Amino acid sequence: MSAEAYDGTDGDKLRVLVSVDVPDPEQISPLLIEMLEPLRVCLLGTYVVPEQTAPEQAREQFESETSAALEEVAAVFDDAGVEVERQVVFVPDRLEAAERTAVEQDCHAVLLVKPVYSLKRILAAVRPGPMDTRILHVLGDLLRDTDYSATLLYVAPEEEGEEEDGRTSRKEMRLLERELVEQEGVDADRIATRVAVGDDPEPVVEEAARDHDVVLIGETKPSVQEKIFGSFSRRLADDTDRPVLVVRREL
Amino acid sequence: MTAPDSGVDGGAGNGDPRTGGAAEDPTGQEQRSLERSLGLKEALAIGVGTMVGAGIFVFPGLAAGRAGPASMLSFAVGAGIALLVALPTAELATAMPESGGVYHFVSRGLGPAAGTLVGLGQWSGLMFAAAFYLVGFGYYLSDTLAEVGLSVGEPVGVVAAAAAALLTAVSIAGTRKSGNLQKVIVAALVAILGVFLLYGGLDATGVFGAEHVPEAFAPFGALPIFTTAALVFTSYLGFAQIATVAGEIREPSRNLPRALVGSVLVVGALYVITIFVATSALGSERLADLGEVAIVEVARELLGPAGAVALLAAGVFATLSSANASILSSSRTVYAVSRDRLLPDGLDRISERFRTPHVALLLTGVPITALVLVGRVEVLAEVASLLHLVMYGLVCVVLIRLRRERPAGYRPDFECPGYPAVPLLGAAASFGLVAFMQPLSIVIGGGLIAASLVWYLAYASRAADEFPGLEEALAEGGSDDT
Repeated sequence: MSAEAYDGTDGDKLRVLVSVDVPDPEQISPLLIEMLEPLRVCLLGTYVVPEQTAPEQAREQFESETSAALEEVAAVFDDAGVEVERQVVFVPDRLEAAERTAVEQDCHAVLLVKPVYSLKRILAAVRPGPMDTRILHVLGDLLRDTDYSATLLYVAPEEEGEEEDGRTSRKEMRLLERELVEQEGVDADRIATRVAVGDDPEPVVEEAARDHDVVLIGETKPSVQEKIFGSFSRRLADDTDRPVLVVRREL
Repeated sequence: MTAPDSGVDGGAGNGDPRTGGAAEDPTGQEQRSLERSLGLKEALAIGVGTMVGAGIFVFPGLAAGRAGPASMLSFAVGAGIALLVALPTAELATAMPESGGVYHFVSRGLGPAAGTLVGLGQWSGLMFAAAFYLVGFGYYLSDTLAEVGLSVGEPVGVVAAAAAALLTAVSIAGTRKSGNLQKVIVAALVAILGVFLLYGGLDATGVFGAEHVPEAFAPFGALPIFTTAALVFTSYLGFAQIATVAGEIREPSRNLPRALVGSVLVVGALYVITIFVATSALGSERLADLGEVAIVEVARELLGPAGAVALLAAGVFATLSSANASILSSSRTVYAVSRDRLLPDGLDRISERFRTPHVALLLTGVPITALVLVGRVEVLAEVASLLHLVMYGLVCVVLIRLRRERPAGYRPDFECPGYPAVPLLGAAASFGLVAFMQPLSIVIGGGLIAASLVWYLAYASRAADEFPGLEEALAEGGSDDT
């Protein structure tokens, strides 16, 4: 699917879900908010309700307080000129709520917020396939009228690296780079590509993330292990302390 | 950086960023649907988990002592009554699926006086049930300690009261996501019972093991079957808890009836087989002598010490998780009742710190602790059953009324089959079973019901004028489900 699908419904901006705790939201760096400007932000305030409390009961008592808290966060977005929608939910599980809202609101990506102190370099982990176009849409939006630089990183599985230097993969990366330049209108000199060879992409992405300020990755189907121990994107954000923009799979 | 979007703007909608998407209606269905986080499995686990607690572990000895092997029939009678109530409950829950369950149906269907009776009855019924579960827990924990040689001879009541206080504190301090723990406990219980019952069943039917001399099926006649059914009905109290979380269940029209009926069938089968295995293995007389923990000796007889230890551990967890579930749902009952102003303001306040209804939990936990110290197992169980049976009977009455009057907006997604026989029988059986209880239980239960009515006349009737009517409840249900 391409960007056309969003035409007319949301002023053709891609939607990104940002979830914060209410009534005590975490800080979102102005730099990060600025980065989101080309996107439409769905701001989800989550009040986590313990099991012994009925969600409606919590809503009745805390609705105004939580809405006010979310409104304060939203005001920061508004001031930065970022389009933002607000919603407060009372739910037992924050991650599940974010996931379900992303589906219901047709969000293209979900932002995992971390503090940032400078924001210049964006890392996009790609893997040839249908996800790429979705990731490039987001990346293109972020880069087009800004001065960020971006690295496209592809960790090629070893059996595919028929040449030890991963020449085939490099060719594919050049195609992606060209797509970014031609379709998304990004200056070529702001894009770097990198191919690594390895069976486990996670440590490679994690290592590369440390040299960048924000990471873009595609959502993958969660393995059983991930369902239990949490997703790679969550671990990536927590371990590297970098904000991670998870581009969702197509519905 | 970039200028504010100048291109293909959405136009009208973009003036107010709050418009668009589901944010159009902040209290609307999109948001509510987010709060529906329970699927069929979770709903079944809630029902089975609440029921499979104390009953199966505490009752076999007491029941066999009263009715002999025919106490199997007592459990079957209990399951039958529960099913007769589960079907009308399912219909009402899909017609007005707001959280609040049985209380909600009766208060909306029959008005504030009946609402007060059922609301306070449910609250106190859950207290008695929790106290009963915790006394069972006391027996199991004491025996477990004795089994591993740690016993210091503490009386069961003290152990149970300490557990009651601890459980109350934990529920106030707030455990997030204990739903998963509940599922694990239920799965472990069902696994342990499954092995036990499979082995015991094969043994009892003579596939292997020693020959048993069959004893008289109903050595004390037919009457004890019903008095025992009245006693053990507590084992089925969990199913209606499913309706109290109806507002959080996904696809309620499909999942609610399945969860309600399914959990009663699963649990009823478990109970009947358990009594069959227990009476076959040891005989009613020995079971009666062994009392509250008889089932552990059955496991010892069939599977040796390992079986006994497994059953003891299962009993400890089962009784505790039942008590926990009762305390949690009692706080929801208090919320539903005080939202209707039948209880003073403030009882349903949520603590900002713990995010739990601390006042309601405290007002539930303290009486439970007291009941555990003074109460006898059989009376605690019967009073809990009595208060619930009255509610269940009234649920059937509500269904009959709604079907007869067919008020506008009454559009249940699930229709109770066998109308009018099912709800008529359900009401008659629920009220009728009370007559088979011991006099003390009837006095206490009747006293509590009378006290609820006095409370209504003295305090809650002031809320009668603005009491939410049936139309409102049905409208809520309709908008939530369509």
